[in-house]
Amino acid sequence: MTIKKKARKFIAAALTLTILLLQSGCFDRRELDTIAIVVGVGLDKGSEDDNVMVTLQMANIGAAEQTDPQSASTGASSFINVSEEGPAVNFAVRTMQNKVSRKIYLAHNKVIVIGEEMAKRGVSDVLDFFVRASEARLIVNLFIAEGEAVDILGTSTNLEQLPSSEIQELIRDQDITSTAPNVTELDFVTTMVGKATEAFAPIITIVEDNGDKHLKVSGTAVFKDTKLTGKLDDFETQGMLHIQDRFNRGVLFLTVEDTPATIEITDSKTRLQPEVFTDGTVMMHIKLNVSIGLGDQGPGINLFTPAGMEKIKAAVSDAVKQQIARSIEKAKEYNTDIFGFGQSLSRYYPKQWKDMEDKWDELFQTVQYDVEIKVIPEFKGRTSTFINPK
Amino acid sequence: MFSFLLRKAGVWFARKQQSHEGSERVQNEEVHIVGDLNVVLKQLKEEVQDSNDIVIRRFRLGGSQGRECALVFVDGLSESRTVNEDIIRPLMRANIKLEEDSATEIIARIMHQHVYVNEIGVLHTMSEAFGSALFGDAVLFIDGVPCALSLNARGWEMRSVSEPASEAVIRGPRESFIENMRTNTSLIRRKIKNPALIFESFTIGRKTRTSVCIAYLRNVCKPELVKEVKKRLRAIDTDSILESGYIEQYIQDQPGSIFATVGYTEKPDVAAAKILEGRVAIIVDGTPFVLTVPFVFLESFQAPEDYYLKFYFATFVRIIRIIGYFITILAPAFYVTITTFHHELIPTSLLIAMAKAREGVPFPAFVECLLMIVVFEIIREAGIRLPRPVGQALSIVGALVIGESAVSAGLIGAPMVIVIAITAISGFLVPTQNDAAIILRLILLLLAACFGGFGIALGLYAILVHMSALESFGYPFLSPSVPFDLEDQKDSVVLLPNWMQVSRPKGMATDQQRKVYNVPPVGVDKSDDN
Amino acid sequence: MLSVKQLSFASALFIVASSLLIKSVYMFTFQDSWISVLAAILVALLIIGIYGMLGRRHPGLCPVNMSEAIFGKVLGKFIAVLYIFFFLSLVVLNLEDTGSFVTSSILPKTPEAVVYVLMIVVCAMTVSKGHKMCMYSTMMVILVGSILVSNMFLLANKADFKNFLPILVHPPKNYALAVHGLLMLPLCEIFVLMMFAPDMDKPEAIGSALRAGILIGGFLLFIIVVRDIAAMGGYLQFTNNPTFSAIRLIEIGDFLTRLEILYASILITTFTFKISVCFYAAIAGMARLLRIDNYRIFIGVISILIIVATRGIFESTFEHNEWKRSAPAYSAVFLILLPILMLLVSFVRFGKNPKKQTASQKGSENEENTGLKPDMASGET
Repeated sequence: MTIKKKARKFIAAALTLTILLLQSGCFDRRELDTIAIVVGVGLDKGSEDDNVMVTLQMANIGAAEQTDPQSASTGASSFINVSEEGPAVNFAVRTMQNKVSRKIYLAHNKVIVIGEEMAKRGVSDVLDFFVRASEARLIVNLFIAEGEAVDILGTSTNLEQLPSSEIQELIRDQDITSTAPNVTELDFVTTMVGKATEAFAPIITIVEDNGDKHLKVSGTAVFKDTKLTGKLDDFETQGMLHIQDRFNRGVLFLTVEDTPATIEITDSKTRLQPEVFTDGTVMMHIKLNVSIGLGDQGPGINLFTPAGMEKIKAAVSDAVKQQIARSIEKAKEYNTDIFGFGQSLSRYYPKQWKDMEDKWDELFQTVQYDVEIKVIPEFKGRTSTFINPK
Repeated sequence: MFSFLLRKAGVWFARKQQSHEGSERVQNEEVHIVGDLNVVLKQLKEEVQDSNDIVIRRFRLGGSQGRECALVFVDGLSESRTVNEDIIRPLMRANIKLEEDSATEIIARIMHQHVYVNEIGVLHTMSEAFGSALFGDAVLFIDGVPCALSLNARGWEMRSVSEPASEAVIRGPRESFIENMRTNTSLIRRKIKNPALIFESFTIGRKTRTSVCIAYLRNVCKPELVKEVKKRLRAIDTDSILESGYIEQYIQDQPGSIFATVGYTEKPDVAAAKILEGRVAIIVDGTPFVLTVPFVFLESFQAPEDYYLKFYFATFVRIIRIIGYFITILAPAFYVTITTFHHELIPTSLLIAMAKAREGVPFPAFVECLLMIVVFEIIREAGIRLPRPVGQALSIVGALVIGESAVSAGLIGAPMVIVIAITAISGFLVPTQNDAAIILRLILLLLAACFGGFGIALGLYAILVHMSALESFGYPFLSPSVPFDLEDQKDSVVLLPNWMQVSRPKGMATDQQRKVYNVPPVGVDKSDDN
Repeated sequence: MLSVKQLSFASALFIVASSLLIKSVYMFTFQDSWISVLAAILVALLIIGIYGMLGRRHPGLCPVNMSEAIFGKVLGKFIAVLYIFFFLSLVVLNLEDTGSFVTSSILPKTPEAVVYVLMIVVCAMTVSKGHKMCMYSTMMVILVGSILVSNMFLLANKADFKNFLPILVHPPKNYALAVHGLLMLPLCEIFVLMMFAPDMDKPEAIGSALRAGILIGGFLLFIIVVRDIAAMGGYLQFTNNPTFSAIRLIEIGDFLTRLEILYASILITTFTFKISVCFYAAIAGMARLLRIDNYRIFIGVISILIIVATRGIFESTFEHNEWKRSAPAYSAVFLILLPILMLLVSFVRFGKNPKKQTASQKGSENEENTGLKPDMASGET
C-alpha cells in the first residue's frame, strides 16, 4: 500500500470519526437556560381517590433576572409552583411538562412534602418514582404536612428566597432542638421496606404569628407499613430520638426543688441491647449517656453546686425516662415499631428472630424495656450562681 | 498511526526532492588546493563572486622579496586586531627565503615561529578552506604550497551574557546562554569543572553549516544514549539549521506527538544539572536555547528554583503547577460538561446563579467557550508579537474590553469569562508544555461538548495511553510515574531535600548511581572541638 | 518487557474494573458479602496456583500456544480457537456492560452504539501499543485506590457498622454461589493476562505476578464491598447497582454531592483498560495461532466485528440479566476446567520437565531459561 493510500484512509477515518462525534453527540445536552430547576416537591391526594396531585417548586430564574438584584432578594417572584393531577407521580410530572416551557429537572430537588391525606392513603406508590429515577437525589428531606403540601410550598418566607430552602434549613436546625427527626427519603424508604422497621417522618405545619405566616417543623408522623397512623408530639419525639440514638442536642425545662431551670442536652448516646428470654419474651435494654449543660435558672437554690448538680442529674434522668416511656407507649398504641426494636433483634438474635418475624406485630406489644441513664454534667456557663439580688 | 504516516510522508518528500539537489557539496570536496596561488585565488573568486565581506589580502612573506601569499578571512567574523598584529605583521617580517625552503618547511616554520595564534590547522581542500574561513578563521594560502593554513582569528560581535528572557528566577544564577556556542560551552564548563565533561562537535546543514555540540558527562551518561544522540544528529540531512528547534524536530522519538519529548533551557545551571543527572545537552550555534535529552514530562513541572528553595515549599509549588496544568487543559471542558450535562454536580445556589448568568446568552455553552478560547489566543498572540509597550496595552484593552463588554452586552456569561481567565493564567504555569495544553484543551472540550463526563474520561484515558507509550531516547516519557518507581518519586510530584536525592533517576545514568555522599549533620558536632 | 510488578498491578486493575459487576454477591449474601469476598480471594489463590504451575512448566507461552504445545496440532488448535473466542466474547460482554452502564447512569439518551464506537476507538489505540498498556496500571491502581479510600472517608458519616450484623446467617449454598460468582467475574478472569506471558522479562514468575494481582485487586474489592455494606444498610436490598449507588449517598455540606459522575469516569477508564486487555488477548492470540508477527493488522476488522456483535448480542436488559445467571458456568469452562485439563495433560505427556519438548515452540530463548534454572535441569537426570 502506498503512503498516499494510507494517508487517504487515515483522513477518511478521522473525518468519519469527527462527523460521528458531531452528529451523534449532544443527545443528552441540556443548556442551563433550558431547564427548570425543581427545588421542592409536594405530593397531595388528588380530587379523585386514586389520583395524586404533584406540586413542583421551581426556581424562577427568568423573573429574577429581569428585576434588579435588590428587589429579587425580597423573594416575591423567585419561585413558581406548578401543580398537576394525575393517576401516578411519573405521569403527572411528564404531563406537567405541557405547562412548563423548560425541561423539568429533578436533580436539585431538596425536599419532598407529603400531604396528610396522601400519607394516610399510603406513600409507597408515590415515592417509587423518586427512588427509581436516576436523575433524582436520594438524600432528600421528607416531610409530612399538616394539611396540604401545596400550601406549605406556597408559604413564602422572608429569610430564604425559596420556601423549599427554608424547609430544608428548618430541619437542619433540628440538631439544636431535636423535636423532629431529620429523615431523608432514603431513610424513609429503607425503614418502610425493612421488615423489622417502620417509617416515620417530621411534621411540617403553617403557623401564624404577628400576622405573618411561618413554617414550623416539629413532631413526628408515624407510619404503619406505608400508611400514616399517628403522630408524636415534641416530648414523645424526643423520647423516640433518644431510643434511636438520633438525639443530637435539645432543651428540657425542669423544676428542681421549686427552682425553674432550662437544661441543655448537649449530647446523647444510646445503646440498644435486646435480650430474648427462654420463654420468648423480649427485653430491650436502653442505655443512655446524656451530657447536659445548665442553660439558665430562675430564683431558688443555686444549682451550680455539687449538690445542685446531683439534683439536676436525677431530674434529667427522670425526664428522659418519662419521654422514653411516653414514646414507647404511643408506639404500642399505634402498633408500629419505629424504634427498630425488631431490627436490633434480627441483628443480635438472628435465629430467634426468624420465628418472631411473622408475628412481630403482636410481639411488639409485649416488648419490655428498661432504661439506664448516665447523666454527664458539662457546665460551661460564664456565671456560677443565679444573678440574684441579695 | 499518525506519527507513522508523518514519518513516511517525510521520507517520501525527501526522496522526491533528492534528484534536484545535493551535487554542489560533492564538487567542493574534490577540489584540492594547488600550489599556484593565482589558480587558487581564481577558484576562490569564482565561488564567492563579489561578496563584499570576504577579504583577500595579498602580501609577501618576509617583505618584498618573499613568497607571495594571500590571507582570506571574513570581515566581521575575524578580529582585525588579531589579523593585523598576530598574523600579517609577523609574517611580513618573517625571514623566509624564496628558493631554499620546501613547502612543508615553510608551513612548519610559520607554524612554529611566525604566527601568534592559538589554533592552527593545515587544510588540503578548498571546501575545508571555505569552511574554515566562514567560521571566522583567517586562511593563509602561500604560493607554491599545495595546502592552506587556518589561523584562529575568530572574534565577532555578540550579545553579552545576560539574564534569561524565558526562565526568570528569583533565586539562582542570573546568567543565560547566548547565541555563541563557544560561550555556551564555557558557561557549562564553568559549572562542571571535571575532565569527564565531554563536548563533541558536529556540523549540520548543507547550506548553513551550523555547529552543533553535544555535552555529556563520561562515566555518568550511558554510552548507548550518547551513541543514539550522535546517530540521530548525523542522520539529519537538511539545508539549514537556524535554531535548536530545527534539531528538535529531527531527533524526536515520535514526531507526530503533540508533546515535546526534547527539553530546552536557557540557563546554564539547568543544563549543568541535567548533564549531571546523566542527560545529554545539545548546544546549537546561533541560539541561546540548549536542548537536553532524554526529556520526561515531569521536567516541565520542575523549575530550577525548586532545588534552591526549601523542599516542602518546592513540593507545594510543584503540586500547584500540576494542578494548574490540569486546570488549563480541563477547566473549559469541565465547565461545559457540568453546565450542559451534569448539573447535579453544582451546588444548587451556584446553579441558580449560573443559570441567571446564562439567561439570554445566544450561544450554546460549547460555542461560547470555543469563542472565548479563540479570542484569548488571538489576544495572547498579538501581545507576544507586538513591541512590548504596545503589546501590554493591547492585552489590557483586549481583555477588559472584550471580557467586560461581551458580558454586559449579553454575548457571553460572566462565569465563562472567569473560567477562560483561570484557564489562560494556569497555562502560563507550565510554559514548556503549553502548546500541547492548547491542543488537549480543544480535544477535551469537543469530547465534553458531545459526551459530557464520559467523553472527558475517555479523552483523558486516551491521553494517558498515548503518553505512557511515548519515549524520549528510549526513556519512558512519564517516568517515574509510568512505569511507577517508588524510589524515583523523590524528585517527582514530591521533591525531597537535595541530600536525600541519593541516586540518579533509574535507567538514566550508568554505574555512578550515587550522587550524594553524606547527610547534613544535625546540630553542632562537638567531637571536632577537642 | 513487562516486569512482574507491572503485570501484577495490571491484574489488580483488571479486577477492580469489574467492581461494578459484582451485584450478584449482594444478591446472595447481603451483609455477609465481605465474607464471600475474602473466601473468594482464598479460593482464587488456589486456582492461580494452577495457572502459575502452567506458567512455570511452559514459560513464555501464552494460553493459545500452550494449548497447541500440550494438546498437539489438531486438538490444540481447536482449543486455542476456543480461547480466542472466549477472549472476544469477554470483549463483547464487557463492552455491553459498559454501554448499558453509561447509558443508564450518565448519558440516558445517547444510543449505546455511539458509546461502543467511542470505547472501541480508544481500546484499539490502547491495543496498538501492545504490552506497554500494562505500564500505567500501577499509577491507575494507586489512583483508583486513593479514590476508594477517599470515598470511604466521604461516606464515613453514613457508615454504620451495625449494618454488618448478623453474621453468617444465610444458607451455605448462597455463600457458594456468591464465591463462584466472584471467582468467575473478576478474580479468575485475570487468566486473560496470561496472554502477556511472552512479553514478560521473567516468564516463569507469571504465577506470582497474578497472585500479587489477586491480593491487591481483592483487597480493593474488599474495601468496596465493606464500604457498600457499611454505608447502605437496608438500601442494599432494593438497589440494582450497590457499588454505584453508594456514591450517590455522599453528601458533605451542600457542595460535595452527586459525585457519581466522577466515580463513573474512573470506572469507565478501568473498564476501558479491561476491554483493551481482552481485545489484545484475542488478537494477539490470533496472530500467534496464525504465526503472524504483526498482530496490529487485525485491529480494524476485529473492532468492527466487536461493535456489530455487541449491538446484536442482547435484545433487552432482561436477556442480559438472564445471561448473567449462566455466565459463571460459561467462564468456568475456560478459567478452571480447561486450565486443569491442560495441566493434567501436560503432566501425562511431558512428565516433570516439559521444557525440552516445548523447546521447538520457543526457539533459542528457551535454552537460556533452562540455563537460568539449575534446579529444573537437575530434575531431568
